Amino acid sequence: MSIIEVTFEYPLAFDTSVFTHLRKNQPYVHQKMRDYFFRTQRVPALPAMTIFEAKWGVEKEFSRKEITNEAYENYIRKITELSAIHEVLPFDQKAAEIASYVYARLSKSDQNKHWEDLFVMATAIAHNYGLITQNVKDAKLLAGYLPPDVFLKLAIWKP
Amino acid sequence: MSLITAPEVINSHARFGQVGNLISSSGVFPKQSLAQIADTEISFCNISSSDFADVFKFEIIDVVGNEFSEQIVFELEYSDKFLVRLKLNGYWELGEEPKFQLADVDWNFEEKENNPTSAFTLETFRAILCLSNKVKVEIPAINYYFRASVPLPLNKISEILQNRQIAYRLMVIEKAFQTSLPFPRRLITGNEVESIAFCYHAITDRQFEWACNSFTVLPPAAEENLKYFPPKNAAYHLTFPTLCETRVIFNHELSLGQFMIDIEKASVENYEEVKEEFANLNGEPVEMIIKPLNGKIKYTSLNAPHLPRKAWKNEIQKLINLDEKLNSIFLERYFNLATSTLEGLSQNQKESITERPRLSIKGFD
Repeated sequence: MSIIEVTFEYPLAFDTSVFTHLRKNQPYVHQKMRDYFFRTQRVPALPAMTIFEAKWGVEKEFSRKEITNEAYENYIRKITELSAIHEVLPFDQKAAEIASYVYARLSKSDQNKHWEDLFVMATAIAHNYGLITQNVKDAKLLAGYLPPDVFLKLAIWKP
Repeated sequence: MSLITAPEVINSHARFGQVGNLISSSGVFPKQSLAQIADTEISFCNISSSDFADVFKFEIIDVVGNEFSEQIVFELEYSDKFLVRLKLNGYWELGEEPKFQLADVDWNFEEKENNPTSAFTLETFRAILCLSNKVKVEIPAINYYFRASVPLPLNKISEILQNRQIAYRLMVIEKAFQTSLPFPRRLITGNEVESIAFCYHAITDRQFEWACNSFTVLPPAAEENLKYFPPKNAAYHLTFPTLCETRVIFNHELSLGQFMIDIEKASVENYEEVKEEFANLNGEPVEMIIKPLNGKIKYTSLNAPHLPRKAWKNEIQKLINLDEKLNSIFLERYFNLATSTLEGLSQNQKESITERPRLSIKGFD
């Protein structure tokens, strides 16, 4: 299995689900963040794909006229402010190579279901970050198709 | 008589960031006071925070400015550890009693010495300044004060806290090894940070896990090693004592003594080659590349130096004890900002705005 559990001071990056739980004020994320911050004095990094997903949600609601112009501007600004605190990991050449390798080996239905998770995972691996996730099952599925000698370092944050 | 006064809100700048707000002042600052402070052998300036109990008492070592200056500079020294240059910017309002209208304040900082304790003290002070809602700057001798906030983005505060942590770890290493280390005025590299962390955990935790992709050992081709070598090329549980482990920090070689290594699942990358060379039984060292399959090694220190009891003077211990408070205020702000990205939305709206994008499979065909 191409999964390694991270050691306690290893630099970490959020996956989208845990980042969303942070935004939703879920206590388990606070507790894990406290442990991580006390040890490293930094907040986890953000894969660029996670910012895409967070902003896409606001853009989608605005384009469907579900939120006002004022609310739209406010939420976009807040996400930008929040992102600015984090190191943002770009989806670069190395990430693209890892993602394309795995994507080609997934079933059609897994491709459709997991393409965002794959981009997030590939970005974390490409930048030598451990990935914070709650969803071990999906992480194992994707890591099972990683190229030889490429490992997913995982930090499991659960309630 | 000339006065320095301040409006309700003036700006406060820090060398490391951001313009902030200065909130209020006692209003008057006699012009003669500048000369008085400069002439007095020792005058003090207290800087305290609305959120932290500690008061930092500074010696005023110089005051530069006169009734024509648009800037009055106080040079303050804290306990031989660091200097603060507090630049009060404003203008003189002429009249019977000229008054200095305080417009904004610049904070500049300088360590007095490049050592971990000075760095730790300064970074703690900077963190307090930036994490406090407001700080009070007071010169008791002339009954003058002003209150300011010194806001800084959280990522910059995190950098201050990281430096503070590195400085603290270096202080622990200094005490345990009874040595002196520098705190360089340059970017500390990732490798240096890792060496510092390794030494720190060896001293304080004694047993800890460390990330490791692979490492090389050189056991001799001897009967004993051949006996313990796995008969098949499969992962196995490996424990062995190291020779003396050393780490180099800023050109200082530190000997941490022996460790017991424990690898839950080790594999030998060059298995066939090693097996063949071991079989020669010629006592020659054999290069053996070991790969921990779970990416980590458990280290147990057998004789690394210890941190002495009561290692710190009260003044430093108080600053160390602020860890919890500094981290809590930082995280509270961070969590508040994270939550504000969904503030005011109903549960349904939150679910909708955070749902994940779904592409048609055709999009990738």
